[in-house]
Amino acid sequence: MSNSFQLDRRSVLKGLAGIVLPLPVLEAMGKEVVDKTPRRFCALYVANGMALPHKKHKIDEWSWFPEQKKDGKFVFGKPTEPLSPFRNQLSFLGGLQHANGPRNDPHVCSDMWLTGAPLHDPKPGQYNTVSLDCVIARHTRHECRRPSLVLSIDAGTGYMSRTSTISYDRDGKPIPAENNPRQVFESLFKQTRGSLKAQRQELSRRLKLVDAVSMSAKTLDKNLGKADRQKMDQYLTSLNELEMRLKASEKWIDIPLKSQDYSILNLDANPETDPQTYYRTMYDLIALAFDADITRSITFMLNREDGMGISDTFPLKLGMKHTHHNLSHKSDKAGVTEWGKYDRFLSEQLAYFLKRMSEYKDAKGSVLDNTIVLYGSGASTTHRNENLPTLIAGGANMGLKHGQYWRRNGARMTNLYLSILHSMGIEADRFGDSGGTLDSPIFTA
Amino acid sequence: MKNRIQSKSLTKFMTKSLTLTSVVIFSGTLSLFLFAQDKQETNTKPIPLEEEFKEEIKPILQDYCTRCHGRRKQESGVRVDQFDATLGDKQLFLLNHMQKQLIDGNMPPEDEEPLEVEDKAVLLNWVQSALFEGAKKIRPKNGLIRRLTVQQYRNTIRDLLGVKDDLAKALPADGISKEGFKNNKETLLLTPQMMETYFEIAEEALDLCIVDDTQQPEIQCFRVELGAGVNKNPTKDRVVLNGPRLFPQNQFKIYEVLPEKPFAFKPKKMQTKFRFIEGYIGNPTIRAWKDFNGLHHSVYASMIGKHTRGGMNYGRSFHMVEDGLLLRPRSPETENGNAPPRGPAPTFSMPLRELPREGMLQVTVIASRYEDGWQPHDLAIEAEGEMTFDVTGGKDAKLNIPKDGIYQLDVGVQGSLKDDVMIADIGDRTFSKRLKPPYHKTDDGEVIVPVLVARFKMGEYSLKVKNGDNKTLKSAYLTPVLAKSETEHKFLSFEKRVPHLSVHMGVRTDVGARLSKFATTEPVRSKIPERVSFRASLSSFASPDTEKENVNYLAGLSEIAVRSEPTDDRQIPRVLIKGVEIEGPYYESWPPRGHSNIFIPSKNKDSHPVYAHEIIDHFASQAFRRPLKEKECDALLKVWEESYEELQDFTESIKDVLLVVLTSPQFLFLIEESEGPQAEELTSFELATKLSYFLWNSTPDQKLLDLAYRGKLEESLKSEVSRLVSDNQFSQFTEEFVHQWLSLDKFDVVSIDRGRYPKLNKETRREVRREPIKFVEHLNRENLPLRNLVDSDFIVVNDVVAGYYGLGTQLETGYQFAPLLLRTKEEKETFGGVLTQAAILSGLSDGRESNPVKRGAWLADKIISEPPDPPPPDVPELPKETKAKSLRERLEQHRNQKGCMGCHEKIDPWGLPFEHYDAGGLWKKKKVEASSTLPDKTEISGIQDLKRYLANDRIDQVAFSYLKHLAVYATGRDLTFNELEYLRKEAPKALKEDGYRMKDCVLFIVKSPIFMEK
Repeated sequence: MSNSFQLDRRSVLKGLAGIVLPLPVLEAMGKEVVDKTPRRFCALYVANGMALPHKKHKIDEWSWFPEQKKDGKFVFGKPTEPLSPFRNQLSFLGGLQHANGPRNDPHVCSDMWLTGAPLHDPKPGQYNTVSLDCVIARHTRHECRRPSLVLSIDAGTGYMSRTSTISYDRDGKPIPAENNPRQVFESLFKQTRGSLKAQRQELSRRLKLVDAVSMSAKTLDKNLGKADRQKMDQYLTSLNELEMRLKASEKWIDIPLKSQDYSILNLDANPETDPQTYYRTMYDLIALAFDADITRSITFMLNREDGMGISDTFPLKLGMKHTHHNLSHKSDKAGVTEWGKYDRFLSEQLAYFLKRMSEYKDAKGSVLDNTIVLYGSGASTTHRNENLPTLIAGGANMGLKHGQYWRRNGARMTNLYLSILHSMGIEADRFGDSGGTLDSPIFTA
Repeated sequence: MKNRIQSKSLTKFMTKSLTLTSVVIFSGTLSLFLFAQDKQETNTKPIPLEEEFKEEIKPILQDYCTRCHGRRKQESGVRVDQFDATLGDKQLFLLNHMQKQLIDGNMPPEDEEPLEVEDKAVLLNWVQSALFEGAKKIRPKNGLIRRLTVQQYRNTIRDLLGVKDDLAKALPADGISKEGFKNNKETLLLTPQMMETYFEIAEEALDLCIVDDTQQPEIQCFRVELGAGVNKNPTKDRVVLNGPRLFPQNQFKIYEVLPEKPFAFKPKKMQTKFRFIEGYIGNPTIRAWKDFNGLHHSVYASMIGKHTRGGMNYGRSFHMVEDGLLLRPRSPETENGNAPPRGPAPTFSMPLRELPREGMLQVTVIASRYEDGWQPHDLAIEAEGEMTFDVTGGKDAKLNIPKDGIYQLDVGVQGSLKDDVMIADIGDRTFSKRLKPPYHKTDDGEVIVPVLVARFKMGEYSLKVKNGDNKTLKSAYLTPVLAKSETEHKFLSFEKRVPHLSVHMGVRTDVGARLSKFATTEPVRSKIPERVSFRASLSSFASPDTEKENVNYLAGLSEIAVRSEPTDDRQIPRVLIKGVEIEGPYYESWPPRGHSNIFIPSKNKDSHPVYAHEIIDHFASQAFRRPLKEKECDALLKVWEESYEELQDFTESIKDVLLVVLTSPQFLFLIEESEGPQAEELTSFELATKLSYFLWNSTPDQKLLDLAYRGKLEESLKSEVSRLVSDNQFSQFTEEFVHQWLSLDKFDVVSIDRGRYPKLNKETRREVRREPIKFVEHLNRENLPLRNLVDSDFIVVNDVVAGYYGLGTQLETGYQFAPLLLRTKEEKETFGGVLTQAAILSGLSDGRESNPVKRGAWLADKIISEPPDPPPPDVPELPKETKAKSLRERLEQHRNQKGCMGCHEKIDPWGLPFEHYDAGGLWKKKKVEASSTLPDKTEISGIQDLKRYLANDRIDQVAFSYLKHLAVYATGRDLTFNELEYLRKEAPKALKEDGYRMKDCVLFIVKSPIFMEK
């Protein structure tokens, strides 16, 4: 949905006056592109909530949110302990929720996690609203080869309240996800000559049209006589900018892919038999795609809500007694502990991802330093869409200060999203129903 | 109003003697006035303004003003240290303001050194001369370039291409100008992001508009027929759907039908064979395949919504009879969404698997108005001819109606009632009523309940009464209703009432339906089944969004639902739905209008370059709203040539060139070209465009363009304005203008305390919001005097709004807005004019309590154009001990504080008379103090007094305010100082005698140099 998102007028005006017109595209034209530090975003979704044991069970150590403190610092609980090497590159955020969350039916938490849409009150013409990654992609798409990458444990879109994607386009339509490592690899790294040619043709056709419009506009401009033509200047500037963006996109086709080591990839990883290898392969692909600057906006849905799809059985494959969805309905001591163990498994995979991301280097800092990784769930425990378990990692070069456990009950997710947009350098007044940025010391940009 | 006459004559006199029309002075003191006059007379030959400024004025300003209004400090944003005698517009507005402050004695403020009497006179005199000179000065006019607003763009794309999908929603909302309008050239920005979106929308629109006309269109059309036993061969398959209450298979029939079209088409064969995964709500991890065969797995018939028998439904909320489905209206208290519904909303719903993905959809409900019974609250009044029937244990009885007429049926029960619903089947009609105590008990222990009043023809009828297990039923009483009785009156008005249908569409999940409404609500007037059609673009609704290879039995369902809508809380006859027919994509013609408008008839169709030239010339002239210039045509033709050479596809190459047209500035901007700073007349085509975007908010039609082409538009201005105002599209003007002028956005966002104002629910709000718009539309269409804006003896409402106002029984026009004459003293006191419309008053509240400050500021700004300064950033909190006092006293206290007084003196007095009205916009039940002393010291006793005062004494100012807002909107820019002067001077001359008639006001603006010159 476009009207959930507005450009900040002042920044646009400033841009038009030529003061701070952002021209990353210009730099994308040559070698400089390698030196320019990219800003990236990655959203990772865990369905069914996280283990948050009741106080009375006295197993705080099995809480996904760090419940204990030592020397003024939080202590990782057992479900997140594998992440402890990255203490200074991540923070926990507690108490967040979508304002529309409690009004929506609780099954739609994956539909709205990245959008915050009022799904209980569909506006004519749309069900959902644009997701955060798509807003970001709209701004970064001309700086890289692909606007975004949408991954999920199950391919496609799923269906309302049981989605298999967390990405929604401008009109709030779900973007089908990809789940096959080999296909993802092929599409990202093995561009065939045919597809390149088609891309080039499409781009040059668009460029020609923009050029034609530009010509037509200039003819008109000459004919306007002494008319007040400030508005016309705005038009020509906008058109110019658009043309430059297209040119930059066209240029990408000719820039050879960065040479990378693909040997680590196990493209035959099968989630049915080996969930860990599957997750790690997908994480590898994400890290590689970021490193090669193929895209700057990626979402990955790690599992689906309500016992849908293959991921529900992963706990069984790891030797536990219950499926993921059944675990999420546990509130007894043993059940929640087992749930925490599964969360720990997911944390191990995330730790692997963060490690890979920190190994790849950009011109300035690691890939992780230049990527905001959002990891979390659309429910805290069963059907409770408040206190959403949320972890944010990376982005040190975008002003994120880590090693914190920040908590504010009732704080809006969409405020967090607006903070992320601002950290990414995207000037927006609001995102969805945000009421401002998140008032948290994690964001300093 | 004791001060009125004096103040009025004073104003008149001053205005005359000072040759100053720019300010209407309320509170000037006599001595000051005399002094000023004196000065004027002695300075018969004033020294040039500039010289005087340097020598005398500048020092005075420096002495008294610049400390607070200078380089360092700009109190109220005012700065006078940069003043000179150039008399720019900005300066003139400031001088105007300064003059008021001086005359009112507000500046310098009390706690500063007062102006020496002589200094004050010198200053005032100079300011007056400067204003006088300034108003004569000719401003440069340099044409105008403004972007189409999002709404204008939306309408234009629709009118030009015939694409009804709302593609423009991808554009960011337009900014709002100081005057509250979205079409101001200054606030209409254009960003690179928007530019990109324009390209995308144009591409999408052309794809939707242009079809392959060598092929016949494929149309899906099917009907769901309803009725007990209508399906003689029901399937024995198990049909599953979570949530809704499915009808038994023998109560409905689904079949494909061939729609009647004026062109050849291919009927789409619907899918009947499906292969789904069976299991726990379709969880694909459980791999058991099952084959399904039949339309009954593709389309379902069900009831959704709360459909208990309580609330407004007076009995069974729905009932399947032989002829179809009887449906009672939704309870008026119900609200969509998750807010707890307060009453039933019985909704017939069809979850279905297969629908086209794009284009228009037509939903036709085949329905009739049931000859229903009215449910009385009291027992029948004894009358001659009363009949008693034995219905013991529910046994059948025979009714013999001696003559045509209205009868009441009461039923007697021995013992207790067995159920709170009483059903009576009489002949082939069926009635039901929900029973509510207290019940009437006779001496011999029989409980008698009133059941229904209905009209019967003479003849014999079967009577079957039901109540639970029927065990206590005893007798039925049929009594002729007395002529001219209350009961007869109520029944007759019930009988006239018309049920209304709404259609909803959306998606079904396993946890419920998510539906949005088609735009219109349609009446069902006929007693025999008629076709009631609803149309909307499919993209206006959420689609199920599952992948094509979806294998889940319960996923991927669209849903179309039908409901009967109440207008208010009175009883409405039930509607009988015989069937629903769905047709999509719905085409009026083939190829569609938009397509034919591009690929125009031509004998040169086979010669591509010639035909391309014709297409470009025809389409681009429409899109640019003027004939193409040769250069433009050449440039576009070149685009086509290149594209055609590359693609070797005529249609695609035409799409390319039209994409260029639709993203060119000639299309995206409204342009008035200019040769130089001197004023020029608009060209005929510029005029056609300006008129059309003013009064239709969309592109000029062929008639306007033809007139412009023949150079006849200027001379037919009067008739053209009349034509535009009478046209349906004129509502596109009122929607936009009235909403923005009167700040109805405030009503859109105010969060109403539903506990206090339970009647102001979402449905009612939607209608209440339309009242000001429909009212102004009516005034214009009928060319009524402008005084009606502030004080009218009629209102323009529909049954919903009338019901909200408690005037429900008078109108009976359903959802149609119509004028309603105010009859009683109370009605005249409460209603009339825009000031007291609920949408205005409620929008200017916090949703809980009325707010005289908001209302006062609104009136000052919108109705009399004396806008208060914006509130300061740090308004002090009212001291705690004052909180217990009444709002009136608190306001007074606030007003008397230093710093608050200046503004609030001009705001609060206008708002206090509105204290009669609560935050829901209705007359308060308790007595209210609503008197006020207006800024000109006029005493006002309450709202009625205020209305009269505005409509009589201040009509020139009200007219000025309306004309100013109208002109600002019409031109899409701020008015200059002397244009405002023009309105003040010329409008009364031209319009006052006839009472400032509304359509005449439009014509006056159109004919004025403000509109006609560039």
